[in-house]
Amino acid sequence: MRARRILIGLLTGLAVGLAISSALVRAQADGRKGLDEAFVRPVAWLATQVDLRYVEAVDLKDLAAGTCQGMLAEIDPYSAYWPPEMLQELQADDGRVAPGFEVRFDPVSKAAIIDECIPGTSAFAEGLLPGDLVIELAESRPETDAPSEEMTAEDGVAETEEEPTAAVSKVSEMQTAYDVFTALRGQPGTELTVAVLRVDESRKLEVTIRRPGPEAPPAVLAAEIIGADAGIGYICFGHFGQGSADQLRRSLDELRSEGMAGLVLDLRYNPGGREREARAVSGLFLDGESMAVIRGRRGPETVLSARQGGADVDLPVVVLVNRFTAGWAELVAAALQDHQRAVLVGEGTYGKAGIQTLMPSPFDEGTIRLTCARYYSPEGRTVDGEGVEPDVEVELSHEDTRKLALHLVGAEQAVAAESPAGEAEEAGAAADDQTGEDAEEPFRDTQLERAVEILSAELTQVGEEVVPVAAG
Amino acid sequence: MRRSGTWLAVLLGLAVGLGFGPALGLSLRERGRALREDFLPPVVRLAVAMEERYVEELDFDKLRVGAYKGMLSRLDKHSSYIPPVAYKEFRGEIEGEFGGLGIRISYNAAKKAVQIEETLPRTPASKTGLLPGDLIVEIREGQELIKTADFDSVHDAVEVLRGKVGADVTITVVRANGGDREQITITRDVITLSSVEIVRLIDGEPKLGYVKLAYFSKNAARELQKAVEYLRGQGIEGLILDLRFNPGGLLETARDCAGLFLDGEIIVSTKDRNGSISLLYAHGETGGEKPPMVVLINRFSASGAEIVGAALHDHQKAILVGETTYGKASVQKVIEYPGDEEGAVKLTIAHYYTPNEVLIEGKGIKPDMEVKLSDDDTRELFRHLNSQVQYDPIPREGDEPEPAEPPEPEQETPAGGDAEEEEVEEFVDVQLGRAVEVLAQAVAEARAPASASVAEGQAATQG
Repeated sequence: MRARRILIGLLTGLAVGLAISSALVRAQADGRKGLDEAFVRPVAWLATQVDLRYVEAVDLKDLAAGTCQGMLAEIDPYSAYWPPEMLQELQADDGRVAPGFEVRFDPVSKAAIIDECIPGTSAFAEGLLPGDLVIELAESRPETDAPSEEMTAEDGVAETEEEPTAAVSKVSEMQTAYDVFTALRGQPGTELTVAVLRVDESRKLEVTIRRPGPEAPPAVLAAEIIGADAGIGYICFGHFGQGSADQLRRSLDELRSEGMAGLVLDLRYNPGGREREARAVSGLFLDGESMAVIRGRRGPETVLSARQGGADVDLPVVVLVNRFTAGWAELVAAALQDHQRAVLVGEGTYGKAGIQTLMPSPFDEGTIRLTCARYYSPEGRTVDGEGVEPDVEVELSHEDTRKLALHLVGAEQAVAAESPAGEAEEAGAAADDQTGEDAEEPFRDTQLERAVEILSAELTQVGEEVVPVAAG
Repeated sequence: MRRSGTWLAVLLGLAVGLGFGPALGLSLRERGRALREDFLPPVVRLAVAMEERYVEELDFDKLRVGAYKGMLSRLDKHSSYIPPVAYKEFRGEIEGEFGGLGIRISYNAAKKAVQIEETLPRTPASKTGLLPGDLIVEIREGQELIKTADFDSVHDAVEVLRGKVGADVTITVVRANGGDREQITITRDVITLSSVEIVRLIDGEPKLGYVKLAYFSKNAARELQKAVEYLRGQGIEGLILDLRFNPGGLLETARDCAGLFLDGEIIVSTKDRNGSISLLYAHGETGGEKPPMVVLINRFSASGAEIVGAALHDHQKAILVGETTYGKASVQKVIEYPGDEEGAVKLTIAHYYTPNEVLIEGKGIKPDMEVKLSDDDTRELFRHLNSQVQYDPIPREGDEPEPAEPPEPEQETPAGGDAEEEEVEEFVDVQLGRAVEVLAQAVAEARAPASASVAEGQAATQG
């Protein structure tokens, strides 16, 4: 009897166990089935079609590499494939530097879009901005003349017949991000001729820039008291590169000694930089409070804090932001907003706050860069892909946004005189009745004006509370 | 004995089958192996890694589209993924018919609006008083309101403006001469694109005819035939066929167009991956005399246009004047994944060769008489030709024949003032000028032997 019951028990247990485990296996297979049906089968189908019917024989390994690149590019603009040489180049210590701007390369459309341009560099002063499409690159050699103005996508290579002028690299012929990367980098101080397409102007432009030195350019582009009566300080802060936080702190100290009662912190065009500098900068206004939150696919979140000690928590601050405020610049702005430490004036920001991880490529010795986590504001707001909205919106047109960039670095005269853009803009301005603006009139920074208004109002209120308004 | 014979036959068959079978199976298996070992593993491995580590749940559809695009980017530039939006437009263009309003548009990026270039006659838009230069800033259909500022290119606009026949579309228009915004409601109708854009006589001695063929759509060959018949009826001695800016179209149409001037001769051949060659012949008889011809070509003449030009040239039926053509003459097959009606894939499966067996792809065909234009002049030419487009260019029964003088090119300068449209000088089509010269000479040469023999004949009878 007992033996039989044991046997029945065993069998029942076995049956149940099998049922559960098979259900689990099927569940897992269903998860896989999604990928299989929606992805693997159609992709295998196309590969078969190509293999059998494409007009020429193809190397399937090469096809796989292209497929992988396409997968990454479609999912995420910052996820990419790097060939083996890329890591080597990044780690190489040969003194080569980026030209003052970074580029995002789509291997499928062969589009190289400027993603960051650092204020204070020659590239920024020449008017390059994120969103511009890089079409051609050419190293300028000191002896030969600059490439002729007729350089078009078609003629570019043909023009090198007469003299050994600089070879023009067409971005459309490049295969990977690495090709673009090496073409951009060079020794500090060397010149690079860049042909870009400004999509908001539907216009092609060629500029020659000088690569910056190995040190980051000055981060504080301007620090002064404006509106002398009210004691409003203005600091134009260009990036969060090495040493930038110290420079900001020194400027703050200087302005305070000059009687600053309130600060306009200009973060427009600031592309971000280093986390460490961001924490230090935040720490100038937030005493050790939360600055950002990191959240990945799974697992707990991480909270990053502003540096502690030495913050001026009483200084009223208005922060200027625009569509080119990115990375740590927009995150710091969001943190100040979340803690109600500052009022944000301007436009919605860039929306670049992702974190990428590197992993080995599945088809060669290269590397896959994949977005695996994101930074969020202290209150958990999404910044990546969406940007930060200002408290007070003051929009500028595309034209004015470009003028402002040059105005901030004092470059507008030089560029307007040289480029055909200047002439076209003048002609356009003459025909345009809307603003009634003459090309001669100085540029009006309406976003700054609004910021000053707001800050003045705030300071007056504070003044009224604490000190009776003087008569007369 | 019969029985052993049968068995022998069976054994023989078996032996043969066994012998060849592995060979056949092997090559197929080889192919499959490459796919299984070289292609799928890395792709699937990456997909799995992305699924596990990407910052959010993967959209498999996006992943698939990315895979398609990436794969095709390793092939030639004409093999590509056609996303659903473009696929609808693509099919409409090939057919030559779609539901629309009847306007030719461009996208004014500076003003972020859709700019009207032309209003086609006998269409819903023609009754609205819309003029070139007017700007569309908003489009409403049903509940959906779309602002043109959100468009990236003219394709976005086309996608929105074309659609269901019979549906009402309300557009918000800012007139070229300024003024308040107007709202106009138009009901979509079937719009048929004319492929033959200009038909006219070029006055002078000898009398020449001119036809501009813009595209090889379904009905283009019939239109071209009517145009040529009309011109012949007007007594032309030579014909200029303008294929500049013609990007191609349906192969059958290109064949039929070439076939109007060739009698059963080879027009083009295609060679595919397996080396299979396919020859395309002109259809039968066209009858009658064929006047000397000049075909105008430029760097934007592609595909079907190159094929027709090359065929007429190789059979010495036409002189080519202009620039070397684009160099895109390959056959793309549009394939859809079974069950997927959304997007499609264009895959290059064969190359075209001219009757003289010259590969066109990547090289283009060279003109007999080169007249090269700069980039700027090419753009000007394009605008100039567009401004001359006639709708219903082939006169119908009872219509007045078109004036023999080439019409004045109208300079439509919208008062809104684009800085670019300042030129007051008339554009001179130098390529056409050269074509006329060359053709006149060819016509004279064609007459000469006849008149010489007539003179001889007369001398003979008299003498």
